[in-house]
Amino acid sequence: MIDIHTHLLPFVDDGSPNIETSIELIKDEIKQGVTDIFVTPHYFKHRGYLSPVVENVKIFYKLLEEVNNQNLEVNLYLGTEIYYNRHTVRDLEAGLTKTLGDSSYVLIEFSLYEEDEDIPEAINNLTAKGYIPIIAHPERYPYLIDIKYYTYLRRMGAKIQINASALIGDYGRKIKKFVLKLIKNNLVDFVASDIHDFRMSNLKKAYEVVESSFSKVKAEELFNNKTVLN
Amino acid sequence: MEFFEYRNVVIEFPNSPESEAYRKLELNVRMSNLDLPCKVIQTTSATPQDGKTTTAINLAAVYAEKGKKVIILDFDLRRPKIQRAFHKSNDVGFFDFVVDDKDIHDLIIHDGSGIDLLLTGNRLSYPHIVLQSQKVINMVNELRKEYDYIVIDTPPVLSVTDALIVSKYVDGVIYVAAYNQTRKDNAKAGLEQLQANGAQIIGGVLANIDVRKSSGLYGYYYSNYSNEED
Repeated sequence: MIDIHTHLLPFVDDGSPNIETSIELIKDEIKQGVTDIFVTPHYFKHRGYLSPVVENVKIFYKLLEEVNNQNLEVNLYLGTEIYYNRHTVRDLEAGLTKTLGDSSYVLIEFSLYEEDEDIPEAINNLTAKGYIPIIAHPERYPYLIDIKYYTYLRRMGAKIQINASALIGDYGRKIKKFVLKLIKNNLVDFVASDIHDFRMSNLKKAYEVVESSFSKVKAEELFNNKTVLN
Repeated sequence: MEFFEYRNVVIEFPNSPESEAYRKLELNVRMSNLDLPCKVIQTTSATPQDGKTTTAINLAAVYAEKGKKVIILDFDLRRPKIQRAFHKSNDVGFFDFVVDDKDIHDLIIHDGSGIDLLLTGNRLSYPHIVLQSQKVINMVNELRKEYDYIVIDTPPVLSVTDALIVSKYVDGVIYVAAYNQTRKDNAKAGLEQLQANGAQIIGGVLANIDVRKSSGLYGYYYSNYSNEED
């Protein structure tokens, strides 16, 4: 499996307080069947998470060293989970934030409470610069509950990433039903863990939900979407 | 959440009856005053989503097609849309000219269609004050020397005062109404406001006509304003 959304980089956000915790989380990911992990620390001004790529890279290499020391069989790549605002395109171009690994994909999130950004405008601005925006966990946005929005956003060039937690019912039955409907309508591109030290990976269980509700092919498509590795 | 797509039929479907209607619009603008050619043309409407931006981009495409040097200024600073019509990132533009005193030429985008664009960039706090400043009027007058035509897209007349302000320094205003959408009393009220402000109204465009449904009418119908009065 490929996990495109994780908070495994220590020290920089609410994901992990130290290298040891990060290693424990990575071990858990491997247990779930994950082979490739994108480490995507927050870049989120209002929460004070503003560690730039140049700093993240240093920590990333330390983490990588420890992964190698412990002979953990997993590939790690660096990215950012960007909380979108009007500076996002400039920040990307200035190298403060980055795409997922060497790809053109950017993981972007929006408010969990209210629609304070024009999402179609955000998608326009990013795609116009050649980025492929992946909207992180839209099922958690109370204003993005209409399935037709997903059709439009994908038509504009956005990809959709839902959290594994949504599929196993951690966000309630209503949201579980909604994400299954999204999958049924081919409106989801990725399922990821969004793992923090307080939110363990539940990719395996979520994979089983998709496999039993749809098919193994569908589960592979969503949990093992290799387009990000190119 | 608002989704919209703009069609530039003059570029995408140059042989369509719709694009022919825009060529006719260009001819009518030219014929409106043979002695004093209309170089700076404003598009506006009574209410939002009446087709003013579509009219602006298609008219500009006709000028480009004729080999004329043309620029579109997005003066709808509150709800800018030109970046969407041309799929550009709206990260720099008019804002940087006004606030940071950047050279306007460094902010103009040269689109592959042959049309130049000045986007809005970041949001300005007091659009109506900025739009009537001497700084902006001087800028438009400078561009007059460099371009054959300047098309200025402005907000709807009944929403804010901006369109009335801009109408004072353009050569002519094209007033757009959407078939089966713009309310008659609104269209009339908007027109009256423009007239009361002494705007030079070149004519009206009736947008949104479905060609397939209206035999004998082209997609966009142009009517000379003075004829309408008769």
